[in-house]
Parts: sequence; C-alpha cells; structure tokens
Amino acid sequence: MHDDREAADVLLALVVAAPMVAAALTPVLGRRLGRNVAAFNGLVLLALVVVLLRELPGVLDGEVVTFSQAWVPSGPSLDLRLDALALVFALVVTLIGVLVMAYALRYFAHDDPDAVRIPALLALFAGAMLGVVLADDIFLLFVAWELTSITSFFLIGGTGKGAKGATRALLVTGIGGLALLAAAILIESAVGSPTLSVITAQAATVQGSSLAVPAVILLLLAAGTKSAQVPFHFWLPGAMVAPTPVSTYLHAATMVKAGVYLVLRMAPTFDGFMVWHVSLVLIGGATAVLGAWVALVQRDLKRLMAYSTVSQLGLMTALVGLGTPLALGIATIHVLAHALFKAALFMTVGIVDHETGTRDLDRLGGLRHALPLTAAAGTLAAMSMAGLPPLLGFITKEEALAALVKGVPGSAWLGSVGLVLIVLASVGTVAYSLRYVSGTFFGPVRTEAHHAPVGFELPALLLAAAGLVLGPLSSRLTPLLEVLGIQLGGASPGVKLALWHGLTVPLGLSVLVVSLGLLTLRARPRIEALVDGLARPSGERVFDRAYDSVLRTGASVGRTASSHALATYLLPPMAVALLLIGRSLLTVTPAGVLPVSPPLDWVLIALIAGAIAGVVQARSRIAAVAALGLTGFLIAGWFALHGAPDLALTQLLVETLTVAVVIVVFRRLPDTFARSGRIRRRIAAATAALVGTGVGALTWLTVGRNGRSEVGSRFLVEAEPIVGGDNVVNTILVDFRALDTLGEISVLLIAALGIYALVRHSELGPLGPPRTLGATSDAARGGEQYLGTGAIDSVILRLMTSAIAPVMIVTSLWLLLRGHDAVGGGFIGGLTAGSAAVLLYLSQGHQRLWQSRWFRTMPTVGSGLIIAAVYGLAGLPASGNFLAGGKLTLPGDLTVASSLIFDVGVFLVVIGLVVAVLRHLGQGLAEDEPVAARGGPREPSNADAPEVVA
Amino acid sequence: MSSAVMVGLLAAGGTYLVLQRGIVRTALGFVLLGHAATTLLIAAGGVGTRGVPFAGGGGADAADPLPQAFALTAIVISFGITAFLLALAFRSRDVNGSDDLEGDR
Repeated sequence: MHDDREAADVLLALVVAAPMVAAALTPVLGRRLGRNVAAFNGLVLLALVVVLLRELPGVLDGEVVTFSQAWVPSGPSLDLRLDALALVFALVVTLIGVLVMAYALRYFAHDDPDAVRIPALLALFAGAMLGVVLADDIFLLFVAWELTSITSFFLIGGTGKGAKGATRALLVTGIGGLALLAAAILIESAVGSPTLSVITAQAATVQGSSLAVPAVILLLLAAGTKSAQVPFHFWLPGAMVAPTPVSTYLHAATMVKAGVYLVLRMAPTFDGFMVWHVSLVLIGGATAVLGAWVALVQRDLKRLMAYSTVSQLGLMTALVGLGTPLALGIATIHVLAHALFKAALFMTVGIVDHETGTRDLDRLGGLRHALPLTAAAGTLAAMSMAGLPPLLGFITKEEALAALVKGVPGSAWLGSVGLVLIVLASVGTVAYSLRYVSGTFFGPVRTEAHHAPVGFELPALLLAAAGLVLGPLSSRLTPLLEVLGIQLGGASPGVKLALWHGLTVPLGLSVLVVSLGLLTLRARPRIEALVDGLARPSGERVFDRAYDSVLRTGASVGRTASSHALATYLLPPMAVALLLIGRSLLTVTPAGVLPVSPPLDWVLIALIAGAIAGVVQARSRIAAVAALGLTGFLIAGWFALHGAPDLALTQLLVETLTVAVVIVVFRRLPDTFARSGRIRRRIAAATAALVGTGVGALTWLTVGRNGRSEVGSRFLVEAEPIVGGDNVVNTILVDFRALDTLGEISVLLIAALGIYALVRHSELGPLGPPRTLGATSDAARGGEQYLGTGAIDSVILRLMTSAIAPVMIVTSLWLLLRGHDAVGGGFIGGLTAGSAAVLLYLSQGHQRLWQSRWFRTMPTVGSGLIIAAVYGLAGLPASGNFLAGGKLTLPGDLTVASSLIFDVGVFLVVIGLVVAVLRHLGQGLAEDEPVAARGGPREPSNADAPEVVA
Repeated sequence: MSSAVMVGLLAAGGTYLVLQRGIVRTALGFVLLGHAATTLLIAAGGVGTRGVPFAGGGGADAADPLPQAFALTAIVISFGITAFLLALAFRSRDVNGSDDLEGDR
C-alpha cells in the first residue's frame, strides 16, 4: 500500500513534466507526422487524465497527494500538492486539452507551420498550467504562472499578425505576475514559509500582519489581470486574434481561470478579512454585469464569446468573495461547467468560421441545415451557459444564486449587492446565449457553409454532451462539493446537488432571469447605444496611450545620449573621473618618501614626451603609427630600467605587432585622418590637459612611496620552493594567479572571435573569401606600398623570411619552455610566434597565409583555451583546487612544472589572436574595389551594403 | 617623481586622441592610455628597487613581481582591444569609406 502511495507521488511530478517533454518532442515528431502530431500530444494528456482519475476516489475521501523535491538551495522547492481544488483544475486542463488537440487535428491545414507550432506550445502551456494548480510553493506557483503568460504571448501570435493583442495581453498579465511575486514575498515574510498549505494553516498570522492589506491588493491585481476582471478585462477580447484552438484552451477554459484559482487557493487564508470579501464581490459582480451586457451587442462571435468569458469569470470571482463553503465549492464546480460549455462554444464558433469564412452575426443564420452536429453542440452549450435545465450550467447557476441569497456572514449588504449584480448579469447572459443560437443556427440562411468533417465537430459535441449528462447526474457531484466546501470553507456546504429542489427562491430567480432575458433580447437594438456607453472609455485605448507615452519618454531620454560622435559618449564619464580625481587630490596627503629618479629616467621621459607629441600631432596615418611605435619601444626601455625584463620583451613584441596590425588595416582607409574642428580640438586639448595634470598629480601623491608590497616580497622568497620556478613573474601568471590569466586569455579569445565575426559575419555581408590576388598587383594600386596584397614584393625579404621564420618559431618554443625559470613564457613565446606569422604575411602575401593549414583562427584560440581549462580541471580531483599546480615526471628523471601545460594554452591563444588579425583584417582590396579616397569620408563603394546608422 | 610625469603625459596624449574623430585615432589613444595604466602599475610597485625579480636574482634590490605580472597581461589585453578597435575601423570603410563615423550624418 505504502509503495502505491509513493508511486502516485512521483506520478504527480510526471503530470507536470510530461506535457513539457511532449512539447519538446513535438517539433521533432512534427517533421514526420505533420499536423497529426497534435494526436500525439492529445494522447499524452489523455494518459494524464487517467492518472488523475485514479486519484479521484482518494481525493473525494479528503486525502491529499504530495510530492517534494529540493531543487535550488534556498530557492523554491519543487513542492506539489493534489487536493480537491487542484484535482478539479488539473482535470479541466488535461481533459479540455485532449479535446482541443483533437480539434486542432482538423483545424489547421496540412502545410500550415502553425499545425506543429501551436500544438507544441499548447503542450508547453498545459505543463505550465498544471504547475500553477499543483504547486504547493507560492514561488513555484509564480514561476509557472509567468510561464503561462509567456506561452500565451506566443500562442496569440506575439511575433506575427497578433502582435498588438499579444503584447497587450502579455503586459497586462505581466504586471499581474509582478504583483503576484510581490504578494508572495509579503505573505512569505509574514508567515515565514513559502508553502501554501502552511500559509493556509496560519491564516490568523497572515490576517494579523500589517502586510495583510497590501498583500490582498497585490493578489487582487494578480488575479484581476489574469482573469480579465474590470478594469483589466480589455486584453481578453483583444487576444481573440489567436487561432481558435488557442482561444478555446487558454482564453476560455484554462489560463483565464488561473486568477480564479489563485483567489480560491487563498480564500481560506483570508476568510473573514473584510477587505478581501468586499473587493472580490464588487469587482467580480461589476465584471459579470459589464461582460454580459457588452457581449450582447457584439457582432463578431469570437468577441461575443470573449466578453461572455469575462462575465463568467466575474461570477466566479464574486462567488469566491462570498467565502461560504457553498459559494467556494460551487465556484470550483462552475469552473468545470464553464470549461465544458465555453470550450464547446468556441469550437463551434471556429467551425462556423472555418466553413463559412465569417464570424459576423449579421452575415450568419440557418446553419442548422449545413452543420447539424455543430448546431446541436452550440445549442446545448449555450443552454448550459444560460443556466437552463437540465444542463450542468443550470445546477451551478441555481446553487450560485442560493449561495448569494444566503449572503456573506457578517455583512448583509454585501450579499444583497452581489445578488443584484449577478441577477443583472444573468439576464444579459440569457439574452446573448439565445442570440448566439438564434442568430447563427436558426433563421434564414445568409452565407453558404461547407460541410464539416465529423472529426472536426466531434470534440465540441462531446463537451456539450458532457454538460447534458452531468446535469441529471449532478447528485454524483455532491461528494466533490462536500470535500471542496470542507477544504476551502472549513465546513460542509450542506447541499445536495439535484435538478429539482422544490419551489425555492433560486428557482424563482431563475424564472425571473430567463423571462427578463427574453425581453432583453427583443429590446436589444434599443439598448445597444446604452451598452456602448458602458464600454467606454475603452480600456484598450487607455492602455495603448499609456504604453505609447512610456515608449516616447524612453526614446526622448535616449536621444539626449545618442550621437554619432564617440566623444559625446566619452566626455561625461571623463568629466566624472576628473571630478573624482579632483576630490582625491584635495583629501590625499602623501605618506612615505618618494625615491629620487636617476637622470636616465628623465632622458627617457623627455624622449617619450616627444614621441607622444608626434602621435598627437601627426596628420598622416603612417606618421602617427611610426610615432606610436616609437612610444611603445621607449616604454619597453622604461620597463627594462625598472627591473622588468619580461615586460620589456612583451612590450617590444606587442608594439611591433600593433604597428603591423595598424598598417594592415590602413590599406582599406584614407591615408590622412579626418580633421577635427577647432572647437573640438580645443575641448579635447583642455580635457587632456586636465586629465594629464590630475592623473600625474595623483600618481605623484599616492604611488610608489611605500616600496615593495608584502605579497611581492613573499613571492620573491617562496615562489621557488613552492612551485619550482625562478621567474617569479611567470610563476604568478601560471601558478599563483592562474585564474586571472585564464580570464585574460578568455578576453583575448573574445577579441579574436569579435574580429572574426565582424569581418565574416557582419550584417554588412561577409568579406570572404579573401580578395587578395597575388603579390604583383601592388604597383597598379597607385604606388601605395601596402595596397592590394599583404606582400612586399621583395626577393631579399622573401629569402630572409624563409631563413628567419623557422628560427623564430623555434625561438618562440624555447621562450615558452624556459618561461618558468627565465625571461619568457606563454605570452612572450606566443607573441614571438605571432611575429613570425607577420613576417610570413609580409613576404608572401595574404593568400599564402589564408591557405595555410596551420594559421587558423578558431582551432588555435579554441584549442588554447581548452588546454588551459582542461589543465585547470585535471588537478581538481586530486587537490580539490581548480588550476592546482604540480610536477610532471618525464622519462629520464626530468621533472617540469605541470603549469607548463597551462602556459601552452596561453601561447596558443596569443598566436590565435595574431592569426585572427592577419587572416581577417589582412586581406587587401578586391580587383574592382576602388582605393579609398584621401582624407575625409566618401560614398560607399559597395552599392548593396545596407545603410548602417553608426 | 619621473614616473608621475610620464603617467600624466601618456594620459593626456591618450585623452586628446580618444576625443578626436575617427576610430583609428581613438584606437591610438587607447594604446597610449594602456601605456599610462601599465606604467602606473609598475610605479605603484615602487621604483626604488630595480633588480630583476628572479629567485636568487635581485635579492634585496629585486623589483616587486606582482605589479609586473598584472602589467604583463594588461599589455597583451590592450593589444587585443587595439586589434578589435582596428577591426571596427576596418569594417567602417564599408559603411562610409572612412573610419570617420561622424561624417555619416
């Protein structure tokens, strides 16, 4: 017995997971099955119906099935709980799901891409909706709730013709979702637990908390937006652009009920809290009246049904507001009754639309001849909606009226107001139900209809028939009402469901409602203007105006910062940096003694100052680059003076490569700079002077006064004993701070990928395959030495390169290997090898490099990073540390530090970056591509390149 | 003292170039700013001791190895950034024939 119980608990998780798995499989199966894939999803949901029905006897006895799985630490746990309320909703979701899938089978054409997309999304939605109703954790409920909103967006057609309606629906329900999250946080902090069953048990704590009123308001906002209550009801008619299977499932039977579910779930928690009761009854009653009367004047059948759904949701909300066991129980059963008749009605509207091509009531009529089964289904379902005997809708309407007559304990007026509103709504309901039936299926034929295949009509007929069967058999539902009343309202409703209770007040009210409904239908043309006024101001228009003004405000804020000039973006942060520098200058007092600089320092700095002036002043690009290279070399000398040979070498190599890259890129650009205006130059000069003075002063005040750092001194002493490397800088790079280095080579990899993507996959269109044509066409390019191809056409250079390049490669490997103990390492070795590649490129041209199997971007950078990462993981099991170092014993009793492997990764990534530059930026101009004009912008040479706003 | 002057000069030159038109000059400006940053790092380690930071090499006069390690990766990273900026300049030719995006108004 115990094993059975546990099996059922796991099945509960399966109920949520199975539709989601089916959704993932649908696109794959859809390739083979086409639109028939809906049948597969239908079968999955049917299996879940069986699973849920097996739990029915136990649940009717008051049992509760739970499933719990810790998921993320300190996050929501995967708590599921099946009680009577959850079971009713879960059965509605799965059962209607089966029939909607069956309906979708015939609704879509074979070649319609929606025929696979929609069933996949519907299955995903079903999983999300089951998550909402089964969640026992309020945050899990929130996650599933949001997932229903998002799937709804795509199902309405968020990216296609339904974009406007879908966006409205998403934003309105999204606001509600945020309100739900806020409510969940408030309630969780009041109770100290996110578990719904615990929250319910601590109702007194919640109600006594100062957070109770805000929580109620937020919950009402969540439920009201989701279940289309006034004043948020407008999104539901707008969502009717969705395909009919979607409207049937989400916007009639299930998703819009999520709000009703939420207030039902929280009803025990707020029982007796007057704010809760009053708002629900008033909002629900107003929604019921508005929906019913606006539905009456609609011409589009789908919009009529949408307003009808709004009205019915209002009825359910008002019933929850009464809070008595009978009201809560009957509200839940009415969810079932409404799902049956409204799904059937939507399906019949879809069939009518499909077979006649119109949903306009003025153009429809007499369809009982062409579509007899549809007419039967539509009539039965509409009778149930109107609350006519002997259908299930009659039973629930009677008991709802009975609950209203009994009223709210402790507030007589509220029950009376609710009763008046619901009676008024019911009059409208009778009228529009009859209008649908008489206008569509009876009277003269206005538009010819095709015959519908029986399989298309069957789901609607089954749903309508269920309402017909459950009416007379309603006594079978009494145990369900009983257990719902006890679980939600804390007491037995004390009512037996039956068609005939004798001459009661509700029966009298029903007779009154039906009579007034018939009169209203007759007077409809005269009340149309009155109702039109009721529907104004249009919520849609108010929403759109607010939405547009938010977008406009955002755009105008954005415009102040939007410019073509990079300087416009850079000046504000620079100004802030200057302010910060200025503030520090005022507060910092120098501590310690600054060592006196030797004369050689000053000589070097004078040279550097001259070189900087050269970069800044140069009008031609080549002069600027030459001066830049000189600056870099002098900085390398400065490093050498300061006891940093590794840095000096790195700087030399990088500077060489930088110059090479700049030259390579210049071939596609004019050879002089665009000149800045005088004002720009003055602002730039003033800013530069301020920044230079500030940075210099701050450096003088704060830096280099305390001598060597403690950590640095420790590394000097302990590096060799710990990791066996003499070059302390390199040991820091590959051992002590290897994680930093891993991050840094990742940046290099990203730069290489960026270059690759810019050139090969830009929206401007790929440049490749390379347009280099051969080493001899330089001369034709107007004498510009580097134009045309990469190569310098020089025999001497070619001969020298073939001799030097191999030596450089060997040298680079040697530098790599010895890096742990002497000047060298992965960075320096990689840059050396990169320089060899540059030499090869300059002497033999781009084409040679492009065709080489060795100089490839992706394999080189990729393998480098993978080697570094694998090295990091390899030490993990033994030491428990990522990037743990160690020693490798080689044959012949040779030991090397294992961090050499890491340095090999660094080596490869650096080479890969240089290769990326040469391969992708190093191609020349195509034969037919004009040389860039001198100075200043010119017309695009590439006529089909799209305009890009920079 | 001397290092403060140099950092200031490099920062000033870099700032001026970054505020000019055209991506290439911006890239050159970033190179100078990069120099300012790396020399600042080295200066922060103290410029009084100038021996080579090798085990058993510089002894008491050895320079601080930590800022050197930082500066070394900084140099290579600024090379990566320069290369990427230049790739942007390279591509901008296909938009307006120059690297001067402001001419595109």
